[in-house]
Parts: sequence; structure tokens; C-alpha cells
Amino acid sequence: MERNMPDISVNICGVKLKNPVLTASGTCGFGTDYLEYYKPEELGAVTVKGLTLAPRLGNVPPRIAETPSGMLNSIGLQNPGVEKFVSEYLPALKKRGATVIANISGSTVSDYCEMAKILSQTDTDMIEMNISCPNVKEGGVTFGTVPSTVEKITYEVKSVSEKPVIVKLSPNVTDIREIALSAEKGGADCLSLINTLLGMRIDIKTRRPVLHNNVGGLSGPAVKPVAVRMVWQVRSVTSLPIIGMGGITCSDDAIEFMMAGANAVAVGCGVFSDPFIPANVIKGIEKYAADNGIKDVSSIVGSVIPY
Amino acid sequence: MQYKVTDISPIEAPETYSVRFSAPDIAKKSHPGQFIEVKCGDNFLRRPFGICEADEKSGEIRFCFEVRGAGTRFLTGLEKGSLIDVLAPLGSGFPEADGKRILLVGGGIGVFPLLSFKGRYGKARFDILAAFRTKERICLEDDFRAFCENVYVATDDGSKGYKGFAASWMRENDIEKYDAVYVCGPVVMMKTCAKAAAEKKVPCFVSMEERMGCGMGACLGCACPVKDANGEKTYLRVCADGPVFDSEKILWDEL
Repeated sequence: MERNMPDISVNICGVKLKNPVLTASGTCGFGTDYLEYYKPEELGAVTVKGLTLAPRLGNVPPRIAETPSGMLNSIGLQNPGVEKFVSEYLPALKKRGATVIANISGSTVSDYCEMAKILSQTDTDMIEMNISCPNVKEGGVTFGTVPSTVEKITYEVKSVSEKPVIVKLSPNVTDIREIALSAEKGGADCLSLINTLLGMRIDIKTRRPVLHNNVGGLSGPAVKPVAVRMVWQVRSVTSLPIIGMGGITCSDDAIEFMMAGANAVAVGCGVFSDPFIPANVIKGIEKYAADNGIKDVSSIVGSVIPY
Repeated sequence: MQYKVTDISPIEAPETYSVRFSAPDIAKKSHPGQFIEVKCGDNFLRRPFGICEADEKSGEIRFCFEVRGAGTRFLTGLEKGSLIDVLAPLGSGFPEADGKRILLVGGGIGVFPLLSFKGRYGKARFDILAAFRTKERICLEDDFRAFCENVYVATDDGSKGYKGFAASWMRENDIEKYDAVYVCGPVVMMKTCAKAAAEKKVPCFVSMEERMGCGMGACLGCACPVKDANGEKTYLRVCADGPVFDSEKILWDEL
């Protein structure tokens, strides 16, 4: 980073992030696939691939389908399991100086608690609970769409976690504010949104869905307006820190999310299209801060003036 | 990264084009069997294409494509001097062929990445079996003649060369003289060629394909079912662990 660039660090749940730009879970592996384009330690934080208690094989391919201004995915949480993450992937990331958010998914409340306990004994910086992944047949969606369940599972994980807990919200709900409040009631330290929207694509030549899982999660620029709206709605009901994501491809997008109410942002599948996005978003926010005399980027958060 | 297109021209097969762009950095680093990811206009995901030629002297990369959908259709609008946004070189490429005698087997547009052996591995000897549906679809024959000792052409309908599929040719001919067979083409074709190679105990490597997300190994979209060290099923990434795999590892029945 150049000298004389404004300080754009932010503090989320007591963890200092060198800038408000993260990468989203599932789009950056364990932080080392994109070294030519950005170093994980240069970001505010990396959110690693969603972990489960036991290793998971993932879904039968095809797992990817392009859609207008976006894509569907049904990876199925293929991952080496939380223990392998702790022993093999986490040390390398921490050695590089990266801030690490471990994303966890489970089928039962005890899965989440087990993983939170294991991760609490490591130097993971934060835990992000994925209660909203639409690709897991057991558990996933069920947790994230029922307010009382969201409150309960957050409460249980918070009871055993020694790390700050982020609850990642699903947009496939009637009222995101209700879900956000339930997570807050359960003790969430931070909220992240949005996860993917449930979508489908059919190949009319074969009369088959493109994804082997039939349906999958929609992400990319197409979902940005939904994500910005939801961040804005959630900000209107809580003062918890918010990590906003959904179709970010440039620093203007990031600033839009921050004005809507996000304290930090995550870049997800945008990197597939352009791996320079995370580095460019950081530079863009620095430039925005410099051009507008902003000494503390937190002043941008929630600064939209609605009618 | 943006690179300048130096040539785009149609080649013999219908709706098929060859593109060259100037990228000395990629030409220097790439190995046969690796691929490039190209941004095709407003289409969100990049399209992967096998590297057809990587010329260290001219610094040019060549790839060929058949128009299949929105992405490839966009590419037909490129001209000499256009900028093309490419991430490359990606993937693991074919095993070192130096000092070996290799049979290249290409099915249709699968022949494109096999051309990347031209001028490589000085002491290697290459033959190619290029299999197409019909003679109208034959392409790059002259390019292969430039570096292969023997060019065998097969067509499904017998309109030129051997009549039949690549796997049948492999069964009817002496392939035991080769150190390895490198195959690239439709999955069904690679599956049958892998079987033919296995019958004659000739090592066989295949270049797989699957819908890709990131192209870099991060998203796990392009999963290929394989046997792990314990013979158990697992998924490897076509973009990063492949696209080239030992054909014996592939769980062909799952594809």
C-alpha cells in the first residue's frame, strides 16, 4: 500500500480490519488461489470456504450455471472438514498475516456448536455462521428462514464460542428485518448479508436443468439491488455491525453498500469475472476517502438519506 | 489482463475460428494442455479455451473455438487490434513428453489443445489420430503435419480416412509402441479411448471439461469425479488439478 493513503481501517467486533474489503465464503477457497491478483493479508479479511464438521464431497456436477449478470452455484459445500482446515489451511493463512473468518455450516445445532468450540481454540479471528445455504438438503435453509430457529441457534453457538460470531443471513425470506432481529436477540456480534438467492436455469435443448442439483444459489451483479435493499432494511432495525455483499464489482458498489448501512463489504463471485476487483475496491475506497476528505470510513456507514 | 489480438480468421470446419493475440508473458510460462479464460463481452463468466499454440519467439498465443453460444459468438466480433481480456496460463497441462513417443488423439475441436505440442519437447516423437464426425469438420490437419510423424484422420461416416471412432482405430492399430496416449475430445470419446488404451496397457491422459466458475481452483465448481489414493470417490478441480488427468483415475461411469 502507498504511503499518504488515508487510513481506511475499520473495527468489527473488536477485530481491527486493515480495510473494509473482505472476500466472501466459497469464492476464494482458503485464500491462496488468487495470489497473483491479491494477497489475502492485504484484504480486511478472508472468509474461507464453508466448513462442516466432517469432510463433504459436494454435489454431483454441473455445479455452475451462468445467468444474466450473474451465476448459479450448487457446489454442495465440498470441503475438507473443520479439523483439516485447522491443521492444514489456517496456519498458512495466519502465517501470511491474514485476518481469517471461518464460515461454518451444519445439519444440527450441535454441529455448529462443535465447530465453534474447535475454532475457538485456534487463532481464527471470527466465525461466520452459514444458516442460509440453499444447497444443503438437511439443515441449511430450515435454520435461516424461521426467526425462532435463528435466535436459538445463534444463542447456542454464542454460548460456546470464544470468537466473535457473525450470522450470515439468507435473502430467501419474507422479512429480513425479522430474521436480523432474531439473530441479534440470540446474541449475534455481527450480521452478514446477503447469501445467495434461490434460482434455476433450464436448458431448452435438453429439457433439463443446467445444474445437477436442479436449483442453486444466484449471485453476482443481478442480486445487488436486493442485497443493498436488505442491508438498508437491516440497518434500520439494528446497530449491530453489518458486512454487506451481493454483486460487488467495483468500489462504487462497495460505497453504495456502506451508505446503505454496511460497515464492511465482501466481494464474492465478481472475482471470477475479474480477479483484480478486491485490490481495485480497496484502492477505490482509499481514493474516495482522499477525494472527499474522509478521515474515518465509518462515517460513510448508513449515510444514505432516504426520502 | 488485456492483450492485443494479432489475427482472427475462420478455419476449415464450419463456424470455427482461430485467434492469435500477443502475450509474451503467457507464451513463456505455458505448457501444452494448459488453458486460458477469456472475458466475452458482458457475459458474466469467462470462457475457457485450450491453448492451441504458445510461440515464445513471436510471443503469440493461439486458441481456436467453435461458435456454441453467447460467449463464442461475441468472440467472432474481434478484429486485429482488438483488446482481449485473458487470464492465463491455467491448469496443469499434459505430462512432460520429452524423449517419449506419444500418440495424440483428438476428437473434433478436441484437437485444438493437442497442437500445443508443436515445437515443444525437442526429443519427443508425436503421431496424431484426429477424429471428426465428417470430412467437413476436419481442421488443423496441415498444422499437425508440421510436427507429427504420422497424421491419421478418422471420420465417423468414412468420408475421409479411417471409417469409425477413435477407440476402434486404437484397438485395430499397434498403440503399444507409444509411451503414452494423450486424449482430448467429447467425454464419451475419451471414455472409450481410455478403455482402449487400458486394454493394451498404454498409459493414457485425458483433458477433461466441466462448467467453470473461477477457473483458478477456488470455487470448486468444475468438479471431476475421480478415485483418490484409497480408491474412494472424491472430486478434483478440472481447472486447477486438471484439466489433464490420468485416465485410470477418472470415475467414467459417473460422467
